[in-house]
Amino acid sequence: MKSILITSGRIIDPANKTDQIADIFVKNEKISQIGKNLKIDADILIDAKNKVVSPGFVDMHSHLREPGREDKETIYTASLAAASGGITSIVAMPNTDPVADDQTVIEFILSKAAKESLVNIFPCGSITVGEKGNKISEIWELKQSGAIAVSDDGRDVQNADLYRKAMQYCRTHNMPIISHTEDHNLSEGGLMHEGTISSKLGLKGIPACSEDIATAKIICLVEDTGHKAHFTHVSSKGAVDLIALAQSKKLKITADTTPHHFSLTDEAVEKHGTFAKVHPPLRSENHRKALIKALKNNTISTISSDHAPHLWKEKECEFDKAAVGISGFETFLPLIITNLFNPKHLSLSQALAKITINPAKILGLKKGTLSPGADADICIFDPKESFTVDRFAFKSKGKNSPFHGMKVFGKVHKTIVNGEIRITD
Amino acid sequence: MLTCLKKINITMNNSLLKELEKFSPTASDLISIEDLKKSEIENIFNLVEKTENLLKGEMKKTFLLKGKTQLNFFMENSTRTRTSFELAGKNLGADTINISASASSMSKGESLLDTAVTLDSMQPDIIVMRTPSSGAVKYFAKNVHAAVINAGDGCNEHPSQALLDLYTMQKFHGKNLKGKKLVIVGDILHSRVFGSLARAAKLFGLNTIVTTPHTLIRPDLSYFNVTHEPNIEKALKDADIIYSLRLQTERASLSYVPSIREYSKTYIINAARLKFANPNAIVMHAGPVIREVDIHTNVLETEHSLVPHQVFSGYCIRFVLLNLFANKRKLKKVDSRPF
Repeated sequence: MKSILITSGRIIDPANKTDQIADIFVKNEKISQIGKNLKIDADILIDAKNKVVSPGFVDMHSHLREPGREDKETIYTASLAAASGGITSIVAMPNTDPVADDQTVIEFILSKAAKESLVNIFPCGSITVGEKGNKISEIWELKQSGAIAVSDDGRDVQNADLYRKAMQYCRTHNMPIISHTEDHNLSEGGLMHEGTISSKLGLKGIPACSEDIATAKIICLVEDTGHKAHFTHVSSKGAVDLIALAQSKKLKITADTTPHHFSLTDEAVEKHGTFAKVHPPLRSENHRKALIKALKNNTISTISSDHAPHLWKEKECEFDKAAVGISGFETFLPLIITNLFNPKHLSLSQALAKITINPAKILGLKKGTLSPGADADICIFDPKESFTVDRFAFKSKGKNSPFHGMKVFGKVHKTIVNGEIRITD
Repeated sequence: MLTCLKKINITMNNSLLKELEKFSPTASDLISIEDLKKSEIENIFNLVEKTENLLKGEMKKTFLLKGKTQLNFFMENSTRTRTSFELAGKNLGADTINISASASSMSKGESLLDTAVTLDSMQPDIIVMRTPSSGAVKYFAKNVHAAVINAGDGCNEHPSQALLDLYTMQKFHGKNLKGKKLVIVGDILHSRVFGSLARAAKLFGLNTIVTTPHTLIRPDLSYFNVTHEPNIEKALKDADIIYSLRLQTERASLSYVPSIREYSKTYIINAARLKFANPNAIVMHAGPVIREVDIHTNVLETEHSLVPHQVFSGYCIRFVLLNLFANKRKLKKVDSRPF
């Protein structure tokens, strides 16, 4: 493997609280050295002047669609899209076909990833068999085969007794739980956030309380079982308030939200139609503001893409029949730069912490840092460089993005994964 | 030959009789291990030791309980407990009758209280009772003059099992069990064997650790003086006694683990795991053992396994217990009912 010397970049490593102009030397898949004016003979020289050199991004929430829906996305195309977005580690949600509820699916994903993926893929198993909410999956065996967490993402476990047992069982085997948080009785049949816009459009709404009630339930279970939980794609103000309260009680609770939830509101449904149909739904401005505030005060410590690629025909249809989700890898960094860093909600270092070391720590992954000896996962980007989002230029098979045509800042120039240059401009 | 054996038997009877007359437990029923003092349990064990030869002999019949009536009222299935109580009663010369819930008038709707009064009116001396309801044996005992021996009430207690277990442990580890490491594996939440065994272990100063998923643990173990270590290999380190409990599938234990196969992979006692324990560790189980789920055959078929010994100890223990409680009827006070 060729050694790489990246010179004169602004190296920001939130894990080590460093932000400096320096050189970084990569050898044998690892970060070897960081320092000023390194005099080392490297096989490849990269001039990173006026660019940011950051740990590669860790995305806790994505849908790779393989196995089962290779028409929407494959492990290869997803990894290409992720790498294009500077993302070097992705967590694959289990709602594939078949559901990743046993070792065969986890091992399939890992073996496929070893052969084809350009980035690190960490599969997430399901909490219940088939994500049906009736019976706990073989979580110990999922962990043995390489799953790094469990989640019933796409749905939520409705039965609190079963959820409690699952949490106790996860505690036994030290398995993180990623919670998609939703009360199905309240959200059933809903198409978008319930409020002014849903009233105006005559679309059945999903009330914010469907997320709030489920959040409260899970917080109670965390307090009861002594396990931990991570709330993913948090979208409502009520959920944020409950999470803040739980954290103030020192419960082991963490949370992420997505670029689309802090960038858009339900008004996007009017503007972008089915491209703004996503789950949980884009909510109104007061919810979006609460998310920004929570990102600022670190109640929400991570950001994930919830990359959800779909076919063209699945969005080019009636709103109620349209697929749910946004293709998110390739707008991940630009939306963070454009909507969090540029308006000065977060510093660059604070923003990068939320997509590097924070998610890595929550899942116990040895990723998300540039410490010497760490895996050489690096993203080189220019936060000042702007471009217009072109969904047809996405590497992902999923071209479903409401951000098409939007001017954004933050262009990824190079992505290095385990010491190998995967994307270069 | 036969007369010779009878003579031996009679001499044994006489010496046993004398021993038995020496002490009587203060409690009139045996509902919980806590009904017995430590010294009483030690006395019981001394007597049990003396019955071993008799019950291993050619002539087991004695007439110590001649004229006494023993009812075995079992509202749940049983192989070991019911057979050994019945056999011990017959060996003692008592008239024994078995009643199951399905064959009794309870299946027609008679209440437990009325069943108790009805059975007690037939003047039994001892009622051995098993029920799926925790606490029901205590309630039953309060309403009958017969001495009641709890043969298992729901998820609460099974005292004769704990006695036979402790007796078996002493046989193999010596009388002083203080500080011995007892590791209990399996369904702690639903096990009445745990309920009695943990109490007995506390009384005799054992160092008890339980290992099981958090789903199958009782919410507070402080009463039992027991600690929980979910990692079985860590828990088994330097164990002197490994005690496996069956998953109580009849009490819905299956919803507490993903599957039998994952439970077995994570908590079975097999040869590889046995290596973490002391070299002379003993492996026990209250039965019925589910092979390849609770204990692997590669342990069960070695000298580490005391499962058959436990059954014999149970037979002897119950022989002595029936003796000790057969004369309580006259003395027992029953509260009058308000109506």
